[in-house]
Amino acid sequence: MASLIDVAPAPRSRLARARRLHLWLALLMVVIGALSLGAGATGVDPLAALWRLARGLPLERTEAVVLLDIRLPRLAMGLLVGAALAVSGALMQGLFRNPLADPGIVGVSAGAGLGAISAIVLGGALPAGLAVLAGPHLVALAAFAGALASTWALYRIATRQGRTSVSTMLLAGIALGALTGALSGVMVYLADDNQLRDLTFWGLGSLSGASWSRLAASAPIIFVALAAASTLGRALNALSLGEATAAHIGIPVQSAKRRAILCVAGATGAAVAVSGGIGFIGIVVPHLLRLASGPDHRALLINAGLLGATLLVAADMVARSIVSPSELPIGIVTAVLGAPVFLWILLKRHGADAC
Amino acid sequence: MLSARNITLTLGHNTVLHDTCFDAAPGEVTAICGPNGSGKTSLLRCLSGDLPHGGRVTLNGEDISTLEPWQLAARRGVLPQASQLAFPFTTLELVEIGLSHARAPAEGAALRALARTGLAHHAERPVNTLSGGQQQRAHLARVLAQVGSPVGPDSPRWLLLDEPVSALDIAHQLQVMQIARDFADAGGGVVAVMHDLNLTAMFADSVTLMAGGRPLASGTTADVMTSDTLGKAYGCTLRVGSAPPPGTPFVLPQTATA
Repeated sequence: MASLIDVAPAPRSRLARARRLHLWLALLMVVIGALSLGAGATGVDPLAALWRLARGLPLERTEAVVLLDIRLPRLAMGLLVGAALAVSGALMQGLFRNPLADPGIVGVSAGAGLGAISAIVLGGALPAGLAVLAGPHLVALAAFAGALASTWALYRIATRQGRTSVSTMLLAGIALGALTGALSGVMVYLADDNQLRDLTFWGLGSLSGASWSRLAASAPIIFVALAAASTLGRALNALSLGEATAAHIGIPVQSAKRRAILCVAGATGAAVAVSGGIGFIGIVVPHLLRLASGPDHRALLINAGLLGATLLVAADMVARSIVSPSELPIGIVTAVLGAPVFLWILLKRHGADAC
Repeated sequence: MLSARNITLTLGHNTVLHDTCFDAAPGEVTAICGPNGSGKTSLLRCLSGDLPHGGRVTLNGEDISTLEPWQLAARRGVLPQASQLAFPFTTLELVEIGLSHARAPAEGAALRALARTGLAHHAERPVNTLSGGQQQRAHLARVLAQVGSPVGPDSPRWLLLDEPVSALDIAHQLQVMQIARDFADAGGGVVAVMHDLNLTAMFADSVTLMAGGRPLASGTTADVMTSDTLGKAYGCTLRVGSAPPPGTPFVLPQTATA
């Protein structure tokens, strides 16, 4: 038998390092969040406002409006959407055993998009009672319903006798994405000029529509999805060995997959509903974290939430300041940052396959 | 005991196992042999509970379909023919994933399993950078760490190995078979799908010989590994020889020079 003396150098634990990273990322999130409160077209200074409050003076009217009704909900929405997208990406990658998987790939985002586009184009044709009921949440609700419907359809197609085939699911996702994309195209064809403008802006992704009431619709869903996702670390680690081996290791594979799919649908649907098509956060964030502290999902899912939130808020600051006083849709910023990273992963994988 | 009764398995339109019965006893290495496509791996996958099938599999007297995944994981480990790891886990992290079912894994269990398979020095290397044979041993270490000691509090534990030596050089073939042998000698049960008949003869106590999706013969290694039976299973004429007993001098005529 091999001698135990061989073991000598105690290996460093990457998990411990990843856990320490929680704290640093949280700190970074707070710093970036505070900075973003100070950034904007009106030149309101949150420190000055804080100083007024500290001296017991009431806020000026513009200060109150800009900080409390514009920047704060925008910051909160950026944090939530960023965390939701990054965690959804990490979940999908673990589920599909592929670092390039993303809610965008299996048609979840496309389904949410179809819902939102339908609401924008056909919203006016709703029966008056229903329109009043849905009110300003119509787009959000429709996008969420679209994400859930496409995830559910995907799951029904890819699951036979309680077993989900990942390859069937990926292919079905591509087909569903094409179908929902085509239907969205029909909607765009039907739209008038004003609606087209709305559609374009929504499709590029933006946090500019942030408000407390919008947040109230999606925040609870995102919170529940993130909390549930953080319990899936062990299962996703085991799933990276394949479904059969994960089952051998003692993971209840089917229920873990179901929970992961529900989390993705909830988080992505709610995020797309309020912010449109913000891409690449779900790919870039988990990838950077795997490079920094290893692929262990027990820490990765939490770190992804923290870094995703930070990154999206930072991207939003860039989007707001680069063409100030106007602003770029944030989807452009994340795509410019994210697409090269995506290609880089692709090329590196290609190199690895070649040797 | 690990027992299978009347296993019928259909994959697509092909019935790959016909009414198959199988028994393995703790304390023994039981080999499943047979030609390609005879149903060896399918039988092992039914024994490990991977595939929905007709018939019944019991492990230490319990029907495996009634056990939860984590209960099963504490009783038996499964080494598949090939494993793909989707993310760059290190060898040590891979072995620790095998401990997922345990609430409080024993201190150093993962490192001990790595040392047992001769990979202690590769603990921090990403699994994907190891050679094929090293990866196979790393996965064996994962399975060893998962089951822990060969005998649990009230029943033996099991290793189900699918061609555990297929990617290994001869020294590591012997090392891995010795690990299986030691596990059985300590009271655990080992079931291994084997292609190498010589290693089977050296290390197995019993053999189930599969042919055409049903067992052609099963029994002790000496009973099953006869020229007749093997010839029938593999469809070619084979002559089973036997090594001389240790200490007996012998001469090979090939060594003669004129």
